[in-house]
Amino acid sequence: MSSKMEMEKNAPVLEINNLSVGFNGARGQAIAVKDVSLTVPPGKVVGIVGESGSGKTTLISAALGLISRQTAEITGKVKFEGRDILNMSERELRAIRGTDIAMIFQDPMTALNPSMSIGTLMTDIQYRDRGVSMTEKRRKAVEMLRHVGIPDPESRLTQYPHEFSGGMRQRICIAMALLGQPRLLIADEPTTALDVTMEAQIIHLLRKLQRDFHTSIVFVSHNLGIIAEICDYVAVLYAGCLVEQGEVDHIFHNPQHPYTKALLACDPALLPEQVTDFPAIPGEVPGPFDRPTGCIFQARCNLAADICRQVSPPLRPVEANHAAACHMAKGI
Amino acid sequence: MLQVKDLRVRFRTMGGLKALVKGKSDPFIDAVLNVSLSIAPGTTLGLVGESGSGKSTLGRAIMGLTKTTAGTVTFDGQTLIAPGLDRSQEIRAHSAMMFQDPISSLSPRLRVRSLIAEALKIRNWPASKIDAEIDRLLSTVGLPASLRSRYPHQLSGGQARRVGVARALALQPKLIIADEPTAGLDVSVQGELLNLLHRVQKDTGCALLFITHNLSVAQHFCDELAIMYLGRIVEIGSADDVARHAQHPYAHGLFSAQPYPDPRRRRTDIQLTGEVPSLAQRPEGCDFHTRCPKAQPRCSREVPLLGQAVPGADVACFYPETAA
Ligand SMILES: Nc1ncnc2c1ncn2[C@@H]1O[C@H](COP(=O)(O)OP(=O)(O)OP(=O)(O)O)[C@@H](O)[C@H]1O
Ligand SMILES: Nc1ncnc2c1ncn2[C@@H]1O[C@H](COP(=O)(O)OP(=O)(O)OP(=O)(O)O)[C@@H](O)[C@H]1O
Ligand code: SF4
Ligand code: SF4
Ligand SMILES: [Mg+2]
Ligand SMILES: [Mg+2]
Repeated sequence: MSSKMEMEKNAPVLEINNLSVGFNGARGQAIAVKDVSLTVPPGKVVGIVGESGSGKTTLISAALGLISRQTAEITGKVKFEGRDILNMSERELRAIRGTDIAMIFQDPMTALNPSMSIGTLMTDIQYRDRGVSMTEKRRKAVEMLRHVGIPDPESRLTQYPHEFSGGMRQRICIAMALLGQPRLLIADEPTTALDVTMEAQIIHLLRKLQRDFHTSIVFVSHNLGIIAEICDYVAVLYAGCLVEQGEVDHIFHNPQHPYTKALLACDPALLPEQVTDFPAIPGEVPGPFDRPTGCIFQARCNLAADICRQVSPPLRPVEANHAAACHMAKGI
Repeated sequence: MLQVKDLRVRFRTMGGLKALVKGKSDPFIDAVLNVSLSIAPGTTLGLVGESGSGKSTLGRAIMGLTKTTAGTVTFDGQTLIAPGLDRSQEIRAHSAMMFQDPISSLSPRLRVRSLIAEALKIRNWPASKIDAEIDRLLSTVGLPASLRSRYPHQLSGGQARRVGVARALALQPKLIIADEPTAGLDVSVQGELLNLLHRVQKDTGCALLFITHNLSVAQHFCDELAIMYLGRIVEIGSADDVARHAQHPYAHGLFSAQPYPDPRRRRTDIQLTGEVPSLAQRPEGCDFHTRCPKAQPRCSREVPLLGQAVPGADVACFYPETAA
């Protein structure tokens, strides 16, 4: 294999460079994502965690060209397999989404057209397979629904989204995303409505997909147990900023940013028995219009020093494959 | 505060007639089957179980949002839902529901401000005080007042979830049915919200039916836990007992399958495998026997009933895991 091909094989599938998103509003621009750079290597699972409202959904939506320039100002670069996403026409984008890239949205009801039966939804999404018969499309739909644990799928194809449970709707969205065998799967909290055994089954399915087809996955979740289980790398967002990123083992066993540490300590899975008080990080996230100069986490950080209030800490390496944006993190 | 007795909810599937034509004998499914439970004022009953086991349907049925087929719902001493009787508006007048889908359950054309004001008007808040109360409610759920003028689609998932909570609290309900109120929240905001619900409950004495898939939250937040499988409650008891010494093999499998936040401790074998049976073809005998590691011949013939399978035990299994 020539070295050029070698390089292409390992070239990132998704490359986000200095992406910022500010929503236009009456009071000016509300910054939702600030200067985030992130790469997704081929065949790897990259997790995104962080405070509710920290910009996870905005980040991935912007990266897929789903946020219109009318609603928000978007700066930076996003490349999918080397192609510039942010400057693509709507037509080019649509051609990529659904085949090369599939997305599982956070709220299943926004993704499932309520007036279409599941059978129609799941065959329609295969519209690009022109030569394939309807019977074959139905067969594929049924098979995929079975993979995601929907009982007796044949007889449920005629039913509408509201006739399924919340977790079933979520699994239908997952099934729809997987039907296209995407090279990049972006999953925004895909398992929030699943019981732990069903969730384990879905995680297993995603892993298999990643192994068999070398699919790259971006996995957004608040469930730290699931992040630890499925991810190779983890990125931590706080108030729109990337504050730490690294291999999953580094993030869980050697977290360097005070926010990451505080977040991990709040997981109720770690609570001793009989405790009924839940840990939480004291203080509040800065609002979009009162972002401080210096470090974004300073108001809630007990290590905050003068420099933190003056200089915004850059993301810098703390060990191999691990970087944190904190003045107090020991660098290498 | 709330008593539910032998509640049953049937849905017609595939447009009934079509099913008959295709020769399927029974075009109905029982999404909730003979469920009984009660919640005392100031306490929380957690409802956990298989995705699709009927938890949301049960919650909606108690509120009268889904028609019941049999059984009764008694609220504050009065039977308000029974065969041929539907006074569920009296339940709704004193209750609040937090729905499972956060964004789509908020009217898309109303701003956050109006969404909460609506609830306050139901309680006859004087117009002059509504604004201040909205700000107070938003801040109790950890949201900045600046979100007042946003529409639901302009909120993050977790923010929409918290608007739902603020709206429920605005009603000062005697009963709250919370369907996955913390799904989509980070662990810190989740902790704050749970502590808040505890405080509200202490202050107002409201009863809470708490549907969740998060087993650590269920264990630490709830007083009692009920485990559902295929429309039935298969085990019920104090949260600590059920979480630590689950007796029903399904519940036992569930609690032993929890993920742990450590990449060095990934789950390798999941005890519960096998396909979940379809409600349209409920297994003979025990609902769980097709997947149960402890199944015996008897299990595929007889239905184990809560309180009767093992006399006096709140577990619907002939051969429960022995209590430690
Ligand atoms: N269309 C919009 N207009 C204005 N502000 C928006 C819009 N969409 C999102 N926001 C704001 O941008 C910020 C980031 O939102 P985003 O949905 O990306 O958060 P998130 O990290 O996905 O949170 P969650 O975990 O709760 O889903 C939030 O403060 C949100 O209110
Ligand atoms: N309107 C309806 N018509 C027909 N079937 C329905 C309807 N609503 C729910 N069902 C079915 O009833 C069963 C129970 O659904 P329900 O939403 O109560 O489950 P759940 O326990 O809340 O699951 P989840 O944890 O996934 O939210 C499912 O099989 C679902 O498909
Ligand atoms: S830079 Fe300073 S304020 Fe920010 S996280 Fe580090 S120590 Fe805390
Ligand atoms: S009754 Fe039998 S099949 Fe059912 S849970 Fe108990 S042991 Fe398993
Ligand atoms: Mg989100
Ligand atoms: Mg539900």
